[in-house]
Amino acid sequence: MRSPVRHIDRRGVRLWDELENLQAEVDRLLDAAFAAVGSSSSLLGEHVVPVDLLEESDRFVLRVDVPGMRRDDIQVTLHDGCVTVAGEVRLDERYAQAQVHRSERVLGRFQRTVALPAPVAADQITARYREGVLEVILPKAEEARPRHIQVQAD
Amino acid sequence: MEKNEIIQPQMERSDSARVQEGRVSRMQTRRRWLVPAVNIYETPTEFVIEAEMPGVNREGLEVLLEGHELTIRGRRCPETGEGRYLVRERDIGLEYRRRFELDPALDPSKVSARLEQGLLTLVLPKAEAFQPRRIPVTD
Repeated sequence: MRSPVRHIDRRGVRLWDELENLQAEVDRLLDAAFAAVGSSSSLLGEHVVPVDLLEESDRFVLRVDVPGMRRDDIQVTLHDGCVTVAGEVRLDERYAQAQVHRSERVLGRFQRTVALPAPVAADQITARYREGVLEVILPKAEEARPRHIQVQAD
Repeated sequence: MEKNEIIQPQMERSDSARVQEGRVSRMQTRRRWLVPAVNIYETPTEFVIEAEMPGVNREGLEVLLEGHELTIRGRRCPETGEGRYLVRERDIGLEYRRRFELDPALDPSKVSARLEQGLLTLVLPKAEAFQPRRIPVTD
């Protein structure tokens, strides 16, 4: 292999930009470190995936970033008003024998549970995995949906 | 920064407020891009870069090669929804961006890219002169 030392053209790069870039890199490394060891669930060999829970008038929408998975490796369950997303991010087989230069992706099992503030219609829940984002649509139960009440005059 | 790296990831700015495990890292100051997490590994014949870009489809993806500089950009599909967020942890930025400096040992003309479920896989074959070769032994 050629010499790993390389020359980076620094014309036009101001010191402030460089410091900012450095800060970004340190932030990212710290994030990765905290994600790897800083959470209690990590002690159980699991990592935390970021989720959004959106409440609309007649449904909840749960979105989870889980890129690069197989659909069959994702499980969604509803229990006691809580929705749980679990799965396993698998290693590419080639990766196991290769020489690793950088390893930022978090691999392995994950599980995430979110409590829903209103009852949902369990038989109408749908889940779709697209572009690495899991989207679970949870329609609210009939009694939890907003209803217009007719005002009557005497 | 590690030495002996064949592919050097360059740093970029991003405006994402990353929330992980309740911890908010303040990355929003003046940074415009999300930085995708990458794995880089090497086999005898090629280098592989895997970059996580959830929410990006083929139309929103751009892989640029200029000389020995490789740039990946991914624009996330906007998400609909007029409700209110009860939990919001995912990155709010719309664009991923990261730059890599490639070693001259890589053959830039043979780079291939595949995007599957928000995971971009770039395969960068080594130039033939740098691949292992079996030398026949003669008596």
